[in-house]
Amino acid sequence: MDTIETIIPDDKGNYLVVVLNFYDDIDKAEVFQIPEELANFEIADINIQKKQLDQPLAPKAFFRMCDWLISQFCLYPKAVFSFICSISELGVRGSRWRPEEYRWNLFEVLFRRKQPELDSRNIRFLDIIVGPEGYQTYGKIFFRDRHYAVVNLVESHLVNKYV
Amino acid sequence: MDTGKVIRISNPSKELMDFLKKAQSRKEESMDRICNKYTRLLND
Repeated sequence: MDTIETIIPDDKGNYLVVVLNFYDDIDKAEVFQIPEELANFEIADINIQKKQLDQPLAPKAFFRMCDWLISQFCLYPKAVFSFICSISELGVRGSRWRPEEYRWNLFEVLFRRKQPELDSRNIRFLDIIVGPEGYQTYGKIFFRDRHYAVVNLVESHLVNKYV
Repeated sequence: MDTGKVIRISNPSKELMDFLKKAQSRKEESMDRICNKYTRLLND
């Protein structure tokens, strides 16, 4: 699995580590059922971790992370990026959301800020929720307008074959 | 450009849940390794 990684400072002593993991050909063919003729289509999963978990992180790091992710997305014209929200504890006190819901909502807020830029680049995003009520895995998918058919194909496979 | 669309898979198969669990686990291991690397680099 190929990876691209970066470390993003918040200028106050903490950092975000951000990694893109590109799924290999076996996962693309077997799990996502990407047809052979679309073998050069890439799927990368976004991984994010605050470096000092017990320390606060200034919002600047999140804004920079969005810019970095968009810049990487632009470098890979045949890629779809997915973000599967981690279920590990956040260390945020008093949140009414489960950790994965918190991450999902945070990502939503961050990328809503970038909506004009995403629109101008024809980048779409949609939500994915897997599992029954109370036991859900949350995710987001970023893709280009022209790849909508491929995303629909994968969606159809996940919904129909895996149900 | 928001599609406003949500993919909902309410009754996922064991196969899909196993894949997601494996992905979560792989993600955590990979991130721990990478974070440790950056900790060493930043402390040097």
